[in-house]
Amino acid sequence: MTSKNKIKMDIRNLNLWYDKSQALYDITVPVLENKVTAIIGPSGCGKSTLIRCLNRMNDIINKCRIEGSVIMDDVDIYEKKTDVVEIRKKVGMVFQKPNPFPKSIYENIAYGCRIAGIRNKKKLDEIVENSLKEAALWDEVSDRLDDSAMGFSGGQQQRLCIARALAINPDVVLMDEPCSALDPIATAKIEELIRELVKNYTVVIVTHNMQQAARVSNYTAYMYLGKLIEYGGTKQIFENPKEESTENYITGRFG
Amino acid sequence: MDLRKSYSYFKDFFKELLKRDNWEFKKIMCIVSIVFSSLVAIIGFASVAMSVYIGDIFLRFLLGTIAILISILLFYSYIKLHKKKELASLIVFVVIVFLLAYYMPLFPPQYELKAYDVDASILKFMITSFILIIVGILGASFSMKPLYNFTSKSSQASAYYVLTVAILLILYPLVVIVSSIVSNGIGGISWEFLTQDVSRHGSKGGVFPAIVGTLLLLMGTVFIALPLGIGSAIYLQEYAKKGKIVRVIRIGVDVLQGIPSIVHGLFGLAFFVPIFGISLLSGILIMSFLTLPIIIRSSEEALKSVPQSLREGSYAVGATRWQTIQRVVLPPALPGIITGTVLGVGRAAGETAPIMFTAVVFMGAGTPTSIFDPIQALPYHLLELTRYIGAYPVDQNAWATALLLLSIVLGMNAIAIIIREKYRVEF
Repeated sequence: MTSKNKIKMDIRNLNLWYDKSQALYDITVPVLENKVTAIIGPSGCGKSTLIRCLNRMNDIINKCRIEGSVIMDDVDIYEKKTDVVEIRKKVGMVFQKPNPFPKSIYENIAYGCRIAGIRNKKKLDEIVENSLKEAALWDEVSDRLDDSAMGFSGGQQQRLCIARALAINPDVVLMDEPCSALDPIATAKIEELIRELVKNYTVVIVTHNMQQAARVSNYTAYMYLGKLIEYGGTKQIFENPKEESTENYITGRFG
Repeated sequence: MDLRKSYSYFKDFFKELLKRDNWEFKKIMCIVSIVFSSLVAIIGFASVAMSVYIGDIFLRFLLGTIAILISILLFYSYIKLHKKKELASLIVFVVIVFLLAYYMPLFPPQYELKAYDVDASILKFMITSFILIIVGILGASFSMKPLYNFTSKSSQASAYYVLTVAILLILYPLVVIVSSIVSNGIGGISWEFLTQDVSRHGSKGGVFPAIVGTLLLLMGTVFIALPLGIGSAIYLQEYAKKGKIVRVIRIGVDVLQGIPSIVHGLFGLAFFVPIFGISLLSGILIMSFLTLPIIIRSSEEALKSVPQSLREGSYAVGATRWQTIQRVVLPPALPGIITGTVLGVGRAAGETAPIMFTAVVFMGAGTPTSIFDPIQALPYHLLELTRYIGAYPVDQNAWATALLLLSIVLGMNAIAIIIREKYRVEF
């Protein structure tokens, strides 16, 4: 790969407060292009908060204040003149719990395109098909595109949400514990999918499951109590952590 | 559903009882006692519903039989089970029922309340039928205790029984009111009644202008209150930052909902009538004030029931706040909003006080040609007719009007329920 170590998103000195309590302390970490970056750490350490900073999802939370910058393609996404809608079109997101809209499969995936102004039916059909294929769901649902998404299993719904995120053709896909509500078989399918996706997209994944981080990610960041403790290649973090706290967490001594 | 659950519970209960091989003296006695007690409660209900006194001897027989049945159960359980403590409440119950059986028939037929400056009287049949209902329910629930040997299952069974009866008790006034209105009013409903104007103080003719007026009033109310209500709910729930102002607005909405309807009427008389006169428009405006809080509150609840994760999912693909509301939040919330609107308008349909000074006349309005014309309305028509009862032969038309009004309001509620059940979205 040519862009082997190109930085896609650069988080610099990020501080975040919910009302008066600080949730993130001075986080500086790069997200490399076409790689999977995993964020691990015990519950409440700020993993989800950090990943939600990458597409400004924390904007919709009351009394949330952010300092610092996240640079993507030479633009600070936290600059005043940056349009949050444009950011979110470039940075897709998949949530912890599958959250398909109560509409048909087709409408779920076409939703992002429709609000972006694409009305051409042929083009929409094409995007829906491609996104479903990319999310490895096409074979299962191709004859049921008009069925309500609420009737499908959790794993299928989650892959549908991934397809929905891919339909707007983002550069980065954020995944906030995408497998925590799924059984092992569905989890395995999604992990395989992530390994496929990384060829075309940059992926950031938050996970509780350390084996999962070890299996799918290229780089790993370990967080504890709102601070970034250690960042490095996944192999190095898991086999030869520099910090004692990381080692304790990875070996299961706490967390 | 709870009713279905308790139904299946009772089915199991009776299946268990009907197994021939575990028939024994205690069980048969318990079943007889339960059935008899239930029968007594039903007789009590019927006596109130039909305003019939059941007779002293019959009353004594009913109460005495329950007391005897439960005393037999009592002795039996005392001998077989030696549960002294648990039997205490049964003993008290039996003593009370015996006393009632002896003393109830000795009551005078009615108590005058003149001594307390009240021109009314408490009738004996009311007291006795309520006592019958209570004794019947308690008797059945007490007979379940020995049936299950005073275990925790027995309290469970009696609790189920009492709760099921409680549900029936809620339905009871509805059934009595609706059945009496239907039976009295159905004779007055005719083609003439539905299509002609009022004549001879309402003793002849029909209510056609009143039907038209009520429908126009409701349509106008929906036209004004629905967009305002949905808009306010969306603002409060989706746009406004949670702070003092929103809290004040919400309290304001609640206060508006609590304002008595006659105060709305006076307000309309003071503020709208000088400008618009006694007219359809004044009525519509006042009715909108009346229904707005209901619509806002129910729309807010409907919007709240759409999970936050759906909004996040929509934002995450680059939707703006308005796009999210329009395409993701509103569609699943719509059935709830419509239900609330229909319920609110249904309430408005039956209100007299807000329109009696502002919009309606008893006769002569005909079909209004503009919104500045006065109208006739069903609830006001009914009010005037009840005033004439005794002076003119209007009873038949009054009952028929009540039936018509009731069917409009109940019909709207039914529509609301159908919409809610049919288009409900599960997340």
